[in-house]
Amino acid sequence: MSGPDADDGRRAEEGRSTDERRVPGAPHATDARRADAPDTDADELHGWRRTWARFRRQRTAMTGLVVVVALGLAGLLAPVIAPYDQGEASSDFLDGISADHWLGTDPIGNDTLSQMLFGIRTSLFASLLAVGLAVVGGALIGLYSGYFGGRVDRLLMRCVDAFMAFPGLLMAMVVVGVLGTGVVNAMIGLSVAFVPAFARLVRGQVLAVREEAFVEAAQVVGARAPRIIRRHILPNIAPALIVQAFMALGFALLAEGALAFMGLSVEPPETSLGSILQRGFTVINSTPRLVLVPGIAITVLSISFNAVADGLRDALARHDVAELVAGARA
Amino acid sequence: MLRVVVGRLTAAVPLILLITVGTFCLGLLMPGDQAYAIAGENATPEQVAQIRRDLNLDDPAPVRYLSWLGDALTGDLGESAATRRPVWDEMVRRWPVTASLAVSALVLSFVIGVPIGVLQGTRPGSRLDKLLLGGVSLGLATPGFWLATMLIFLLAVQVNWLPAMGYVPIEEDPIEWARHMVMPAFTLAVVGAAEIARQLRTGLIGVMDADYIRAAGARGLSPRQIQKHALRNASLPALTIVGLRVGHLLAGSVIIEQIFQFPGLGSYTLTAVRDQDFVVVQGVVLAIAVIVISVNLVVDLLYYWLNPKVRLA
Repeated sequence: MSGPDADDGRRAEEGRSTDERRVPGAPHATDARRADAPDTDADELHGWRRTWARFRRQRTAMTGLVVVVALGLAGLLAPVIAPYDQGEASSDFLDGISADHWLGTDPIGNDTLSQMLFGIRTSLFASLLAVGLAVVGGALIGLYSGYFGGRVDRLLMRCVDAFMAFPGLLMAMVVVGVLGTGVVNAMIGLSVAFVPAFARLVRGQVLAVREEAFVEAAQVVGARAPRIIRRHILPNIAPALIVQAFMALGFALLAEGALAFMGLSVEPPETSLGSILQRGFTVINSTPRLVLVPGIAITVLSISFNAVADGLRDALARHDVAELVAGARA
Repeated sequence: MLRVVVGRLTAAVPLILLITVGTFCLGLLMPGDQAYAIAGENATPEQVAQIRRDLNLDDPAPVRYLSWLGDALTGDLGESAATRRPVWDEMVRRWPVTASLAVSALVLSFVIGVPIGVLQGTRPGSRLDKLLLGGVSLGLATPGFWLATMLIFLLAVQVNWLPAMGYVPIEEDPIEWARHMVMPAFTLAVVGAAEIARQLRTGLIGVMDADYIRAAGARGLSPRQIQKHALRNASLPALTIVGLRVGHLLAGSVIIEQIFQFPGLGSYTLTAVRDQDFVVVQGVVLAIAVIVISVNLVVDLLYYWLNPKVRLA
């Protein structure tokens, strides 16, 4: 079992949890709960578990995560749970809120609730696609640049600088202007806009990790670059990359909305939150609801992604530093 | 000073060139033959061949790029495939619309952001600070196009205080110009205002901790005078936001100009993107790169001039 030191450190952490703040004079109750909950054992509280324990304590971040997961599930299950199919129009035009249509219908008889579910699905998938491509592209450039350095590094970073000066949304539009409209093209464009920031971040992280003793040790025993990058560098730069990815997801959601609103992203019958908003805008005089509902969804989702990113950043902050802070507070 | 100016300028030129090379390479990826796209479906082979000759499409890519660049330096950016009008003339005609929108938005973001940031930074942790902090994060996350549509609904449809769309040149009627400008400029200003407020708050909190502020307090300066000293130092980083905002303002103006039906550079860009009118896209990219990079250059030099720490280092 854990030694007394580890136990003390954990108590310092637990001391800030909401349970104990409510019952400040009852440490035994917490101890008992701890005893039959093996996942909070100090020896186990490393890596991702510990991050999760830290993340869980942040109310804003948890709220954000719950929203993202709930809406993500709703979008994932849209084909199953949506009362009407995508593109299936009923005979009720511009219906108000009713038992048949919980969020009413639009001018061509589409059920707004179903549209929203499919819209969330498309918007989230699209954002994931854009950010996923950007993470891969940015990581490849950043790893190469940071690990090998040299002339290629200088050239790549010059390019990164140039493209960072160019506004992201316009970059995405330029790519659409070349490849044509459509959700995949729009998201490729958006990922091109994200790549420079990811490349810069990864390069900076690699430069820091490369100086660590364990990398040097691996080089000394003759490990090759791919292995060192995979085993020693990637795990150490992952936290920063994940935080940045969540930030980018929040932005991608807004940007997809903007591109779809301009008619550059999804094409009918597919719907994303932005295209619902755009169609709602044409009838804003009579039914502002059709603009209000998707707009709130985009804003809430984007704020939630940012909250998760902020929470992750705090939870992933260097453990030894956080420990010192926790110890000083106790 | 002169050496700094020259140094920054020589760094800016390759940046702009790189962006144009990047755009040109993107154009090479364009699916289909540009000549056929321009000529239309019913074109005879002779017409297509003529267009190929006009656009030098048979030359190798580097030659084409260099000739495009050479023309661009003399103000010839080619002509739109859709309208056959010169890109340069069209941009010059539309520029005042976008410039007045961007400048109004920039001014407005300072008018809104600075008081909020000062209110927050001088009383951190207070209830007002927390309330405004919520407002700032909401401002950062609200999509501009949604805000614009809601403003139109509230202020133009419901109460009819402001015109829903359209643009009136300032030299024609300044009052109507302002009335048409309020909603678009405000929409574009929100994010900038939120960023300025956040930057100023952080800056003020940091500066208020500094020794010279404590010394000023010890010598008996009033809180008001102390705040003036603190603000001077905290406002410098906020200046860099101007440089960072310009690109976003130009990008944001594309969608805002569409919503409010402004005949500016943004709506020109959007039409070109929709029609895959590559000559126009290329011209707009060059123009925006030049604008963004020169504004950042000016901000850099201003920063250098205003901040003795950088100047004397």
